[in-house]
Amino acid sequence: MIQILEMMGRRLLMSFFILSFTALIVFLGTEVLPGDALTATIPADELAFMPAQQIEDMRRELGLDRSIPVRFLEVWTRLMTFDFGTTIIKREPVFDRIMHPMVNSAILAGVALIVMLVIVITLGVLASFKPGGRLDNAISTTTLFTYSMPDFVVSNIFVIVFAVWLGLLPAVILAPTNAPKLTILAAAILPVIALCVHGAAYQFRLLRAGMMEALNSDYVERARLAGIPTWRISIMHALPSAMIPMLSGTATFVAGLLSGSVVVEAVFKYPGAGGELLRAISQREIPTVQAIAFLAALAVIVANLIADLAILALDPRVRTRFQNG
Amino acid sequence: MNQIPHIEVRNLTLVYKTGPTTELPAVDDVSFSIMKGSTLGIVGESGCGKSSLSRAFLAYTRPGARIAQGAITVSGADIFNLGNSSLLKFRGGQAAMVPQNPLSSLTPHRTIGEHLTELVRQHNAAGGLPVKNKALDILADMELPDPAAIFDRYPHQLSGGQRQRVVIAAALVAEPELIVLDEPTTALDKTVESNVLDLISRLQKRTKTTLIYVSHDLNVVARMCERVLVMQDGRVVEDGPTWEVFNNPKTEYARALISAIPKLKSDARPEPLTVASEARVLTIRNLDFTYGASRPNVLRRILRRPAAASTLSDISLSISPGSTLGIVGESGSGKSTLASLVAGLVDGNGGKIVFDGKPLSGLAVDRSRELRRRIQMIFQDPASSLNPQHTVEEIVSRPLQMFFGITRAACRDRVVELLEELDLNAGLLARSPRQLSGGQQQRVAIARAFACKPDLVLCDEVTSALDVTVQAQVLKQMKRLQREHNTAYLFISHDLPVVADMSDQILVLEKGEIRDYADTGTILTNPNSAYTRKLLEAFSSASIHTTQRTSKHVS
Repeated sequence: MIQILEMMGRRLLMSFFILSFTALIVFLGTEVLPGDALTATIPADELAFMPAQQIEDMRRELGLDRSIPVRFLEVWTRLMTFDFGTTIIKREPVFDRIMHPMVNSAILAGVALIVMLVIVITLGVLASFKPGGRLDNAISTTTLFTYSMPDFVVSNIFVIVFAVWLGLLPAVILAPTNAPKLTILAAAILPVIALCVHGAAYQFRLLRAGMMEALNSDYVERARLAGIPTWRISIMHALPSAMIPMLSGTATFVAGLLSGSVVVEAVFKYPGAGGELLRAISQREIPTVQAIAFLAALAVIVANLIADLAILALDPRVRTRFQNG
Repeated sequence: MNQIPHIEVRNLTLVYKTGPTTELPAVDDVSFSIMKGSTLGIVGESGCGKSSLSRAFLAYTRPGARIAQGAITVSGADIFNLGNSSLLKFRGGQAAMVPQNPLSSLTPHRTIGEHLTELVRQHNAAGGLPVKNKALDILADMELPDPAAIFDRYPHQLSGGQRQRVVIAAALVAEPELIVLDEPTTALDKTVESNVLDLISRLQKRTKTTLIYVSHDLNVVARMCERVLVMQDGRVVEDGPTWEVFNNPKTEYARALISAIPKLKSDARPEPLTVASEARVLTIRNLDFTYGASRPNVLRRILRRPAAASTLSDISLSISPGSTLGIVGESGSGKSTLASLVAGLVDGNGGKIVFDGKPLSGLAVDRSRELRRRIQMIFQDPASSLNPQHTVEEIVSRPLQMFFGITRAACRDRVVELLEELDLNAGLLARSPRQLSGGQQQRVAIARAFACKPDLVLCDEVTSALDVTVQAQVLKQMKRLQREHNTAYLFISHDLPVVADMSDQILVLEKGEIRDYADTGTILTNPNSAYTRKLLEAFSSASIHTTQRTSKHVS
């Protein structure tokens, strides 16, 4: 147990450096663009009428007149303490602006992840009953097809089929960002499926490869020769080992969900962080961009940590390796 | 008593798919029958079809294989035509298999208890007992220490011998009438093997189970079985009482198989080298070594090195030019560590290893080119020590170019010459290692070592992965090369007869300490330590000659 905590400690230390690096890249990204936050945020025709002195004052007030390292240090300290500051024009706390979109996106990503895992594991176990059989071939071919389809194509096809032709669900979501979460959940059906189609295909291929390896192992052969039924071999003997290579892929899927949801949210007009991020970038609302990028990086790190813990739970050999330190 | 055979194999042909329309028979029109409670050995070289046949007794074929014709009946039932649920009852319930590799035959994420209780439930084998008690009983039957603790452990937390006992326990838990054992002890050390075989014999006699024992190790079969089948290319070429087949083989193939078995003879080497010459290629004095000891602890923690995996203490030895020092020990005895230190694969010899009068520096990279040429190493697994991307020609010519600056064009003749010294055809030059048999691969590895004209060759279990007949051939060639080039061998193996056959002197290692160190003859006839005596016993009790005596005694 101590060793596992030690591992987590090491991971957290590493996460700290990764997050610092993310903060640096986001900061530099917004810094190298022409102009500064002020000139980008305030419309040009308004700026033209502002006296130079007032602009200078605003700069000083926002701290934009200080040197780059000093400002980065300030941004870094803020992010690390989860203080996301205020927006440039309206002086509202960034946190209030992004809270609802972030939660909405988390719902979308979380539900997509769970639905995806349930689908993938079910298909993986079903396909493993008869490798190379009709069911296995059908699933493998379908997933190869859906794997090669980008998110925006899937999303648009869904809109056309389910909303325009069948009229089952609305094409675009008209819920405000701060709508009750149950409404958001109902609105998330199509986006969730759109996100899953691509991800599930990839995860299935990883799981299938793991299942094939496990099913060809000596221990599965021993179990078969001992009269253990096929379903039990698939679920109890092969699946846990087969999931290990998939789980690292699942952590990557979470990272993909965040970028994928930008596209999917745009297609369905889903009130999530993707839309908020696009808006913030176009308005050069730098504190908001920094906050969203930072939280997204944090989510990826947490997802990886969870995947590692899941591997520890599934494989006693890895646990022993940790205990031997 | 019971005249109806327990198992009948009729015209069994089992084929493997080799292409879209081509099939190759692994078992070819085989027929025989076995009486209840008897013991049958099936022997032959690898690839003769004995493992495919052994799985067929459980109505199982590997993917890509199928039963082309014939039938096996067990207690009158045709096992290839069982329905799904009767098949599951038959496997494990009536017939059980102990597979080849105990180390990988247990599901790594399930505890020993989960393995056993699953089978007890599946085959309703508890007999009124709580399921867990039945599992603990069978573990106790296997003479495993502290069954309750073993029950909760994962496979990787057990030793190889313990895992094999668990696999046997899993096979026996539902009290089957037939046990098929496919090379069950190949992966085990000799003394562990001896114990496991004793255990199987005792259980077989107690329960009157029919036992089929598949192995390439004729000594073991001689010890375990009343009757033996010799298989070659999928066919049964001999079938008869064990001692008769082994002492009076009818076919050339069986004769070759039997004569290739290394035997323990005190006069293994007719001309023992006189130790008159004072020259020594290699001398080691009072060497102590522990893995990781040379590295600071903090760094080791970060690199997550297992602490003190293998240690050596107070090792002293010497080898004279052109002679062989054999090192015998079980896995974990430190014999490979010793070779790694001499080869410079591991740092930390502390200047106590002296080669040709000068101390060897720790790592091979710090040694002069000349030294690296003069000390060569041959490994156990040629498949992984030869670069799969290179051809045989490239593999053998690499040291010629590196150490002797021979140009590419001139290399070829020398490579062919080296291959011919090992009876390898020049036609193999363009092949890659994967296209060679195990024996050919190992000979290429030997040719590569001898291309360097070495003074000392470290041989780490070089023939352990080979069939007995191939092993005998390779050992003969190695002896010839040694005579012709006056090369010294440090010959490491767990197989005492092989070491005795090769060596002038033998050093017995146990847990990193020297138990015995003397001339081969002395070790075999008059060993100093109890450990060496135990080792000798483990090998000779499994020998064909003992069987001959006991069999005659019985008849």
